Amino acid sequence: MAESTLKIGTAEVPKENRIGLKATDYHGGKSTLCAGCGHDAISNQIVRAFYEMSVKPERVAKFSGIGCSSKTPAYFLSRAHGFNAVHGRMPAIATGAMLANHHLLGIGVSGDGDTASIGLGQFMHMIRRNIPMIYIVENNGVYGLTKGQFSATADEGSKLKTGVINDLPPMDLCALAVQLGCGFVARGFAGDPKQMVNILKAAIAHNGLAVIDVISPCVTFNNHDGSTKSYTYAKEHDELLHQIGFVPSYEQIEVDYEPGEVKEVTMHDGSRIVLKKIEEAYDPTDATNALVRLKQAESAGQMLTGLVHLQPEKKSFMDLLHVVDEPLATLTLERTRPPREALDKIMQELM
Amino acid sequence: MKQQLTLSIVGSGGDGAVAAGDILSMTCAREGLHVIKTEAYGPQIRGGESSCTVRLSSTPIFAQADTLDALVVFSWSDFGRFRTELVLGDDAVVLHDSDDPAPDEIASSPGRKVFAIPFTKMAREVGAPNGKNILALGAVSAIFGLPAEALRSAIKGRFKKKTAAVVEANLKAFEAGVAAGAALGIKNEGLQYKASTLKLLMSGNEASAVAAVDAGCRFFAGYPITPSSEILHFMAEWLPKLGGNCLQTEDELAAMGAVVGGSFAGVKSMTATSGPGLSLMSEMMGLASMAEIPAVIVNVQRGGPSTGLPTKSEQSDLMHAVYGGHGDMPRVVIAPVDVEDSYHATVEAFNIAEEFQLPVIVLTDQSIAQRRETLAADSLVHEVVERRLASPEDLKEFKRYRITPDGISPMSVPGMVGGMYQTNGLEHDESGRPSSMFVMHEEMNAKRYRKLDSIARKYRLFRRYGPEKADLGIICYGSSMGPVREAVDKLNASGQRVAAFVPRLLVPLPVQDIEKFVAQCDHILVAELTYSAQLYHYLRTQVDLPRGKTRVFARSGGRSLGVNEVIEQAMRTLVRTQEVEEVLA
Repeated sequence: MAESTLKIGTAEVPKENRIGLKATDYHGGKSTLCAGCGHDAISNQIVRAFYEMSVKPERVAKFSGIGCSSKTPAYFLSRAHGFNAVHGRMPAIATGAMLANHHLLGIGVSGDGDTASIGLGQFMHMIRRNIPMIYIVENNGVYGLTKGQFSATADEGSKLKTGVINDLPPMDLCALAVQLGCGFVARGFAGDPKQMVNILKAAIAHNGLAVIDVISPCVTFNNHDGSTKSYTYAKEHDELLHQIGFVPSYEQIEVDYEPGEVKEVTMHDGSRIVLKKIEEAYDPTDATNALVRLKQAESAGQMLTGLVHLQPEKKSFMDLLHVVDEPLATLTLERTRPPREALDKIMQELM
Repeated sequence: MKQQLTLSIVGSGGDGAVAAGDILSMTCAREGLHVIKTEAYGPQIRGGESSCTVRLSSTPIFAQADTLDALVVFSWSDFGRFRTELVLGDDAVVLHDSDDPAPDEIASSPGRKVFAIPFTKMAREVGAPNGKNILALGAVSAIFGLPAEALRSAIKGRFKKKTAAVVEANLKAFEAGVAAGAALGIKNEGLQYKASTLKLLMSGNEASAVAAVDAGCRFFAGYPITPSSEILHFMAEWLPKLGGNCLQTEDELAAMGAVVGGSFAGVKSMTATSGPGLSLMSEMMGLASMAEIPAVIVNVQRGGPSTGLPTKSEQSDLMHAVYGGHGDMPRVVIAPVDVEDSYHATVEAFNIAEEFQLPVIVLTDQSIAQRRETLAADSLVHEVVERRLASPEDLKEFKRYRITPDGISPMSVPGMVGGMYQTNGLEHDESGRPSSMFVMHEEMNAKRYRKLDSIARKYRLFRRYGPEKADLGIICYGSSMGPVREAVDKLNASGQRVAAFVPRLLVPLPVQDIEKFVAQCDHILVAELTYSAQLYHYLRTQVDLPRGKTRVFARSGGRSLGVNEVIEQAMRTLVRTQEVEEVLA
């Protein structure tokens, strides 16, 4: 397998970030998931990305639905507020919360059951609205919490431990997100933490909904021979779109690669994503090409990872609503009640 | 001369029946008359037949009239579809288009004054081909002595965005109508009134929306559904102007979810729906109840179950509002009794939701929500309670779900340093950590339900009408208050002793006040618009309603209770009682 990340700047990680916090300030409670669960690897990279990006933990709002994946917000960023909602309804709750306070940095963690089945409608409408937050799907192809039923992302022909074979086609959440116009679509693999952390940093920098589908093997119910979501199968079929590097806006690092060898995408906040081609020139800003490439990968049985699609200038829902900078949630009491004249004006228009 | 006048205009989509009713009711509200205006449509909602009924009175009124004093018909086939709800008085004045002769059963009634007027032809002649509704208004104003000058200026206002020629043509149509009406030579039909101070003319949906805005609601999420959509329209127009957000979601699951999210993040939030939407919202209401998040849900009832009667009133979501949802799920239900009360009940809903951190349903119905009625211009004022957030003392060792005597725990919002907790649909301990221990579940259920006890002590919301001691006491809720109140007034005026009790708070029910009322009345009649007597059965779960002295009048919705219908039921109860007493004597 090729190296998935670009080496940019110094590899050294400082003991304190720019706001004077330590990595431990971003930790969460102890995980109760099975040892070796892909979800824990993802939580670790979330801790790292938020720490290295110097995000104030209290500014973060964590959202989740129901499932093994949805338990994980308890395992990172204890200093952030969390809302463990009900099954499949996280997008609606997060939408309301982000509209109430768009200064929050939202991160939603869901699973393939929570997103691709019971919550599919809300997931699609969240993409359509482009609510500025991160949406991670920890995708293992099975319902872990209820002990191993197939989910809607299970591959056709994939086999359960009990020998049951899935005979329905899988839903490709990345293709769906691209088709719906999502401005940030990525696929990661829990077994590739370096790629994951760069995708997460880019997602933090993105102004809009960032959908990250992460293949995250379930060691208990879907990691055996015959499963197409096992660690072994994923490693063998991982097809990198590119190597990824991330340069935050506050760093003036020149990227030391030959012209034409890398593609840079500047994000809304001035940070840069640096992509180095591996075997082909892949342009993630071309949605049609992204859909073609995803379809090719599916036919070839590949697990395509990397930044599938990027549209950093796409307007978020907040931009479209022209919301005032001050969040509704922090408006003072005097300002949330209309003056008598405003009410009188309403009355006049009703007459 | 008449103290009251009830007029109905019936036509097809495009005939302008509702527009004419709008102009008439607004003009009379400005003149200070009491007005109730109702509209009715066929099941297709858009297109098809429509009717508009306006009741005008010089004294206060609380319900739509049972029978019509006047009727304008552009098409008799359209009228046929409303035959069961538009009942003509015996001496009613009927005007219809000469193109469409009146059916025999209308024309042959001896007391009726039935006239054909060539509305369509005359409107065309004065250059206002779409103005037959205005022409009819002119005729009606001449016959009943309605404020013609005020109507003229209302017509100018109505068409002010059109060209001067359109305004002119419509004024001509009005004058042609006045002349045609006067030429009929009908005597002694004039409405007796004195112009007084302007009244507001509002619908229940508008009153709820204004209340929400006034209470500080700055986030609304909803999904369009008849008969509640006007609230969504109002919020979409006004919230952005007032610095808030209105979100039209993909369904009611998402609407209620977004409300829970918005409120969780610190903003007073509301949704509005009708029965089918309430079914979907039950899931998220359970979450709001468990996670103790304030939320206001206006449920405008319509005929059910399923798609039911989308445009007609019924009171049959009561059991769903009161009990709907899985698990032990405290919620508050408050039922406004008329348009003005829709304002007060909605502000009270926010006050209770914010103070006690739970979902509050405003259980109204189509007849209140969509009728327009007059209210005094200064009546829309109500004290507002603000959300109390955790104090610095609370945040020292923050326990979001601290067990307290009144059940209220300190609340934080995202971003509050030290106020972090995991909001949860799972049962949890005082700090919010998931717990499935039986002892904790019992303690937390008790804490959440204690809030209802606290609310019952603080709020005693009900209306009571009639004498202190009564032979008959009528219990009803919501929109049934109107006809019941008018019936009670008429019965007492005719020498009966009848009282009425209308609980506005349905959960928690003002049990002691109801029991006191029951003790004050020799007999009880429960009157409601449900087939299965939901109010009666619900009351019986908490109130001792002796079977021997209680009668139930419950019927399907689709038409509101009528004043005469209530009087008839009351008299049956009283007469039967007397007969029994005579037999026993």
